[in-house]
Amino acid sequence: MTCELAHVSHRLLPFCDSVAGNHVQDEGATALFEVLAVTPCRLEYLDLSGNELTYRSGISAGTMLRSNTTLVVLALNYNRLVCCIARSLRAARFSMCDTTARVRAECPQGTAGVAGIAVGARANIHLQAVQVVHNGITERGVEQLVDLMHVNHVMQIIMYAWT
Amino acid sequence: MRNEMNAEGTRSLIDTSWPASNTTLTYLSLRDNNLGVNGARDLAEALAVNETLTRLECVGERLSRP
Repeated sequence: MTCELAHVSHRLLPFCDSVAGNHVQDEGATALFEVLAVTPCRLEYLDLSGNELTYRSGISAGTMLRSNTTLVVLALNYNRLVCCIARSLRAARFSMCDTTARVRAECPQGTAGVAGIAVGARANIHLQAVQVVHNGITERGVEQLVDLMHVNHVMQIIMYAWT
Repeated sequence: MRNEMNAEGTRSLIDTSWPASNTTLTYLSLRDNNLGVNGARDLAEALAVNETLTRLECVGERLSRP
C-alpha cells in the first residue's frame, strides 16, 4: 500500500496556447457526475481538466464518489475548485494563512468543492488518485486532502496547491 | 491538435458510433473540442448505457496560468 503526496510543477503537465477549450463548466460536469453516481458503467479514468469548473463541481464530484465503484483516477486540474479570490490573493503574494482567512470571509462556499471531494473520497475504496493541480487550493483544502490520504491508504493526491 | 467538434459533433459521434455499432470502445479523448455544457450532457447520457468505456478525457486546453 502506498500513501504518497506528490507535488508536481505545471511544467510536467501538458500545456499549449490554444485559445479553444471544452468549456464543460459546472452544468456539464454535474451531468457526468450524476450518471457516474448511479450507473454501473466501467469508467475508470475521467479527466475534466481545464473546464472552468468551480466549487459546485467539486460538491457534485464528492457526491458521486460516495457511490461510484469504478473510478480510479479523477483529474480536475486547472479549474477553479476554490474561488478565484484565492488565486488572486496568491498572485498578490498573500500568505497561505491570510489567503485562507480572506477566502472564508469573502466567499464562504469557496472551499466547499475541495471539502466535498475529500469527504466523498473518504467513502470510496476504489479511487486511487485525485489530481487537483492549479485550483487555488487553500491551507484548509490541503489539510482536508492530506487527511483523506490518511484514511484512504491507496490514495495518491497530486496537487500543486498554490497555483 | 485543436479541433472544433463542439456539442453537435459530439451528438453525431454518439448517435453513429456509440454504443450499438462499437461495443469495444474503451478510450475516448475529446481534448480541446469545445464540447460545452450540451456536449457534456450528451456524453453523460451516452455513458449511462455504455459498458465498455474505461477512460474518458474531456480536457480543455485553455488552461489559465497563475
